[in-house]
Amino acid sequence: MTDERGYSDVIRLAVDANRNLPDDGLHEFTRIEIVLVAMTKRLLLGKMKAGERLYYLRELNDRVFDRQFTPEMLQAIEPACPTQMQMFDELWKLDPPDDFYEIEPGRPVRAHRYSFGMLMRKDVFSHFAGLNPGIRAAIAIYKNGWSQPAAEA
Amino acid sequence: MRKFTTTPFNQNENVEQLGPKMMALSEKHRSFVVALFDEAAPAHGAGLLNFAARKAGYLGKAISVTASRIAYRPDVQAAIKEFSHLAVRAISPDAIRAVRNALLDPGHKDNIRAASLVLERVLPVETMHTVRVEDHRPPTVEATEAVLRRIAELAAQAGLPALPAPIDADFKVVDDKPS
Repeated sequence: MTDERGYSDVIRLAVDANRNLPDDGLHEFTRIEIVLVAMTKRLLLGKMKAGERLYYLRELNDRVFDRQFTPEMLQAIEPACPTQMQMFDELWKLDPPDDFYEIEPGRPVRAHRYSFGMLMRKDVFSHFAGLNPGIRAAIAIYKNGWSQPAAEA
Repeated sequence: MRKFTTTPFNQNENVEQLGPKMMALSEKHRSFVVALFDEAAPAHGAGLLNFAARKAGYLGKAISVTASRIAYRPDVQAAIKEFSHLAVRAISPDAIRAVRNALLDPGHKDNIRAASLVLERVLPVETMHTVRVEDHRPPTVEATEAVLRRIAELAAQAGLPALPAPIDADFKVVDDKPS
């Protein structure tokens, strides 16, 4: 069964691949979020126009969501190093050039189904965590957050 | 039968109502212009100019030539235009009264027209449009102080170190001395 964006298949493949690997305590989507934050932080260190910078910073801060992704996790993650950026480049190559979906009618965006599917895998994600101490710190914060009772709304 | 009646305009009594173009005319030319709007004046083409010239005090056999010369003088033309606004304002109470009479008399041939005329002004037909504006341009925010401050806030929240200045604010010192 495939949803309209075609993510169901890649999620199922990632979950299957993760089944026999040691548990890192992260949700599949959290792995993607963490890696994308590291990449976005790296992009922000480059030169860009004020409008672009504001756009990316808003996107970055919009990642924060309840205990799934806390402000402390966002702060802890360090910008991706050149090696991690090369790894991203390789992952992006998995996505076919026509891999788009319409975020709203007439507005297509890159789906990144295959590269995101790979980022969900524990073995792939562990390479990024090994290169980025900030990611390891964020994982510790994430696990600690889920071990505490939920804050009162 | 005339539809509207106006109070005869006495230029000597109502001189403060006259505009600059009328005041710039001689007394006879001014009288000529006022006479064009006289209640008793004939229609244009039926002796209006001759009537106005006689009212202004011109006499003689060649009065039509005199009247025509006066009427087409640029200063008199400008004064006619100016005075016509005053005359229209004087007519408007009569116009309102005429509409009111037509409205209150169900047997009046223009009763429905008067009613719709009033309704169009009192309760104009309202139309509603839903306009959806989509803007897919890339972000082009100017590097204002507020934007830079917001960038610094968001960067601090995200745990980012000091970021380089946005390229909008880049500059280069150019050595303009001849080499």
